[in-house]
Amino acid sequence: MNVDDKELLHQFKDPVQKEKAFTAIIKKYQERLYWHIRRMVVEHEDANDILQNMFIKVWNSLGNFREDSQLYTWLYRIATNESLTFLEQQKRRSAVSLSDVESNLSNKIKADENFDANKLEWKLQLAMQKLPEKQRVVFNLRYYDEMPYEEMSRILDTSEGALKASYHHAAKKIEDFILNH
Amino acid sequence: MENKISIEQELREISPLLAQIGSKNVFSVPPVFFDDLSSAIIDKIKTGQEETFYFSRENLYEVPQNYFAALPDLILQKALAGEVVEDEVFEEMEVISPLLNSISKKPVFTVPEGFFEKVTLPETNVKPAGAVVVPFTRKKFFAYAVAAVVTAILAIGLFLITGRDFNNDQNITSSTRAEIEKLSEDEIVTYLKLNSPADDVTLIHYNGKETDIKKAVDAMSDKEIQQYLQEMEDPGEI
Repeated sequence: MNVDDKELLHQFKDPVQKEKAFTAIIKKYQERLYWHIRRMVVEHEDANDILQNMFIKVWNSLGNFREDSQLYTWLYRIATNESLTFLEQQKRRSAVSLSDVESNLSNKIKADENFDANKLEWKLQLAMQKLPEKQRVVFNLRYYDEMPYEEMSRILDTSEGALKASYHHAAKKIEDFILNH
Repeated sequence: MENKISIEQELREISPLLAQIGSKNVFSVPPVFFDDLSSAIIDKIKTGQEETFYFSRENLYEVPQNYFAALPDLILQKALAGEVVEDEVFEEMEVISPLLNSISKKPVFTVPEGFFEKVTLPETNVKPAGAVVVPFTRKKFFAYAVAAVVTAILAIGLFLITGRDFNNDQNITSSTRAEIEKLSEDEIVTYLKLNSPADDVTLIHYNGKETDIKKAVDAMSDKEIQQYLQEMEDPGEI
């Protein structure tokens, strides 16, 4: 664990410095975690809800953090689980099929005020919504966050080999989608 | 530990197109969102707000006014009027998909006015099939046939049971006669001596003719007759 994170955890355990340390942790990781969540759920309001819920969970359980992994690995894991939980609840509540959830997310992308169907970056976002949720997570972490497989394996509790295969398939699917649309 | 260069190289190998697109963010974020985020979260924690549920548990469906108040009487009325509805189809769909059950079954397609009044059945040359009549006599015949079969079975059974015994008796009588005919007169006399209550052989009935006896006596010599008389007591007249 890097020195900053260790120091922050130490301060968090001190009741006097707890709030200050927690604020510092939020400011350090908020953007990375926000974009990780946003790419999964697309809408800002949903990403905001998930991010805030996530940090409330961190406040309640950071005192028990065993420090056997990096702090941001632990934070990413919580953010990923919260995002997947949200998508699952959305699916159940809508009482629709998985393909309808995909088209729902695609519609949200298209509804963005800056959406431009001709731009490859937007096509990439549309292509990502076609991926299975966990594969989408793998692609996000590798493609956008440039996360090593070793760290990804700790976050997702999956072997590095499986993650490499998943990333490979995801990239190929996205490429096919972009070339055909 | 992998570095950025190796990650980029990996992507170029998998998909040069994606490597070209890059990882620029396309989504926009409200201004000062990140500036205010930490204080918003801390305020929530301080006010004891628990994590918010992503989807409200509020009921989205409306119910007609006074529905629940009037429901018991409505059900009772229907039950008393014998209108208890057991709609198996409704209940089945309730299990599969309550959503479909909530959709009205009113037809959505329209039909031209007066369509059903104008519909005529096409004429056919097919004669209506006559009713199939089963003659009563046929039934009677079957009844007699069954009775005959049962009688035959009983007769055969009886014959087999009793006939076997009669034949046995016949067989025994004929075989005994054959055996007796094989026996000599001496054997018969010996048997009778041993088994007959009378010792006197003269009681044995002789079926031979009287003339044969006279010839037998005439054939005897005087000496044989003398000997006989000495051995036997006076038998009386011959």
